[in-house]
Amino acid sequence: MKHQLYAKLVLLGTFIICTLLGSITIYVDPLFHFHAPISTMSYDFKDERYTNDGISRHFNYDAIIIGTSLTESIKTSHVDPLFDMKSIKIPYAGAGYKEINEALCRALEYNSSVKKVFRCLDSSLLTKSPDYVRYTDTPDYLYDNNLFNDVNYIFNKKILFDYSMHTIQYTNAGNITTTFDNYANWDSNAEYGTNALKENAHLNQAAAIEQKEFTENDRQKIQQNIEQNVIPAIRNSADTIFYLYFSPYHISYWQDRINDGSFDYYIQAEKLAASMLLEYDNVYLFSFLENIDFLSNDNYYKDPLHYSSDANTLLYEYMSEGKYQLTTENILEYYDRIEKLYH
Amino acid sequence: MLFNSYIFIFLFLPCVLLCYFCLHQFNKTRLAQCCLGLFSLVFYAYFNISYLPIILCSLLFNYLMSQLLLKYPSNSHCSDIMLGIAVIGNISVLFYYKYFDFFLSNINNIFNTDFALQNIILPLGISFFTFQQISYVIDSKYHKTESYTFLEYFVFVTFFPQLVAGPIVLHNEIIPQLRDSQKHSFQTVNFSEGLYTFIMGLSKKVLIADILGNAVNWGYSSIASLTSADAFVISLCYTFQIYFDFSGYCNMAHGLAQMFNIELPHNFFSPYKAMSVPDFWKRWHNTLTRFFTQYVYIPLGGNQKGRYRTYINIFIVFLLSGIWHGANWTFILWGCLHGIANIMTRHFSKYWNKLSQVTQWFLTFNFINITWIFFRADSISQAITFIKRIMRFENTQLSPALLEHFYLIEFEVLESLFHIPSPVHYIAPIYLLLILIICFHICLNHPNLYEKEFKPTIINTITSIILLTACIFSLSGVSTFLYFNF
Repeated sequence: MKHQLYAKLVLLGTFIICTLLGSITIYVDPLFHFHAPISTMSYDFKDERYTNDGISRHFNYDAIIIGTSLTESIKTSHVDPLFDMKSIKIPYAGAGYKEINEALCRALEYNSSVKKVFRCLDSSLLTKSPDYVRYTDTPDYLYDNNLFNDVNYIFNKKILFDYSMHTIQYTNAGNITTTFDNYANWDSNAEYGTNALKENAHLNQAAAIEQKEFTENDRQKIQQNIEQNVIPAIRNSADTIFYLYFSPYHISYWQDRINDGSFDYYIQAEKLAASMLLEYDNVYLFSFLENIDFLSNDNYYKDPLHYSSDANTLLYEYMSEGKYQLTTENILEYYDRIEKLYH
Repeated sequence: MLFNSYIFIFLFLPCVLLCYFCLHQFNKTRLAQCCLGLFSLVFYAYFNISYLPIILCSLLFNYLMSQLLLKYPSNSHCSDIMLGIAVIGNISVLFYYKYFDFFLSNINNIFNTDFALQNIILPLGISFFTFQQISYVIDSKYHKTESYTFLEYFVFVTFFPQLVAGPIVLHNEIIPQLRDSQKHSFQTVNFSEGLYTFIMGLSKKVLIADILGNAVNWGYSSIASLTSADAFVISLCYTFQIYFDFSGYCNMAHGLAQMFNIELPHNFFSPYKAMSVPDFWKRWHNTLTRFFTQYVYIPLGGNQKGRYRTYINIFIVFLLSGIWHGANWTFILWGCLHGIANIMTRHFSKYWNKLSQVTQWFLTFNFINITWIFFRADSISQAITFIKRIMRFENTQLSPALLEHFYLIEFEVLESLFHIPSPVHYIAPIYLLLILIICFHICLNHPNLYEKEFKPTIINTITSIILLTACIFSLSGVSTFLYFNF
């Protein structure tokens, strides 16, 4: 064989095979990067960080539910009727405020007709650095509009086999597209109750010697965090209502904070964040710290942080009825009551 | 920019080849060389734009010094001073970027001081282009270089196939080739050979080294939980990872240069076939060995000043080699161990040569395998802990977490195609064994790419297509996020 023929065959052959295999991913588009789901295909939603952006780009919705793993157990079929909405659920397990803000801002850019946003604000992440991110190797090529870096998506064997070909097999097996009720939802596999809490709790029995001080540095960090990672979406979408709620951790979590001397610290943090957020008319803010019945219902929790689908639905019922809502009028009184209630 | 990246394969390489040969086609030799040099700078700056001033200043400084050295007789005091300035200048820059923080942290440890580390970003390839230019200025002193133009010098240093990871080339290996008009036109034979070599190198890197690297990274981040079997397997994985990584890189560099009709010196000659440590160093990173031999070992007297002086010279060379590889005591210890092994083999050569070849190979390979642990570890204590894990022989089970790294998607696809039932815990050890056997086979039985002339056949055409496609589809992956329910 001549060298020239070898070179031509190799380059042409590689080009043809790459094009054919890449076309499968472009056509099926398991991560909805290029187009909406094909009506004749069923999609098995997998990794959140790979799937969420595509959902927010190409799905049909007028409301967004977003947050960390605390939002994974939400069933949209239960909460949508409460607000007369058609929502998508895009949870980012383990995310900091920054990552969630960026995802939310992208979604609002893709879809300007969003009427409602529901965002769970993890109290424990409020005091992290504004630039805190848990995962650095996220597929950023899926989050932008740069066609050139889509080569990472199109010519990717993991995407080809685990996602594109899997979608074809999944469809052929007669499955239906993952519903938002089931998407990332661990509810049916979780164990709830006192035993589960005991196994997964790390209670600090010894009382703290000193109370954790809420410093000026902490104040600035929280202000920056809220300013950088919560307010932009609120400000840029003035016609959208933002239902923001502080995560209702189990009572044992707050007991733990009292024991280690950081309860007042976290309450101060929450209060500061609340006062900043209440400056915006399109924010409805909720805090459930007074709902001791809820927070001490062991059957709602699988660990001190995560609560069940039913518990989530109940929270959304509260919000739809305006219960536990913070306003500029009641915020100071509310946190005074909380201090007294927990001490 | 990495060779194993989309932007390099799809954009950079086709553009630079096209521009280079088109300009030569129009007899614009200088423009073609300029184009090659500029593209090489783009290649380098793509890693980090702040590297650019460093390499440009280094180029200008060394070219200036070499021109001054050419004006003076080689045995003059001026010439000695100029050379001293040039060498010290280069070493100082290398010291600052590569060793300054290491130096400071050791001063802090020894003298209990509190000097703040500078966290200096290490420019990629600085060790290579610095050594390349040191050899050039030394040769300039002895008038072994001609009065090359700055453009020729610029291309010689920045030529992208060898810029960031060698081989360390000499001026008389590259510049005459750049000047050779017969090499100015696109040559299909060279291009196809270069393409084949590049594909083989890319495959070694992407399809073997990177896969082994995942298991190695896991192993070194969880030493405390490793069984003895895990630790031994991981040590082998790293031994093969570094082999295929470096061999792959050398092949890619060689193949790319060949596409431009430039022949680079070979840097790698099946080192794991070595029958002794000295033999290993005749096969591994030859151009570095050549540099140290020519510019350190021989000036120190080489083997001309008696046996024990020879041993000291050998030890110094390996000590410097260890230091050159990285700013950590682990590299220095690794270099020293190799130096000692080199000396011992020479000293006891009478007894060594009486051993069977199998024994010689076995001892050499295991020595290399164990010393690579120091090369990979973050600290000497980590390396010792790792070695202790192996030596304890306390648990011969392989951890599922290790085996997972060998349950490749390619195997999953084959299982699915042929309907092979595959409980992971049964099948993964088989895949691991298969991968290790393939590695051993390639290292020990496969002829070196340079040992036989490339002849295009249907088989190697199909192999090239499959491998290149597999590599392209392996350049990007899917990250696994460990969700801890936050």
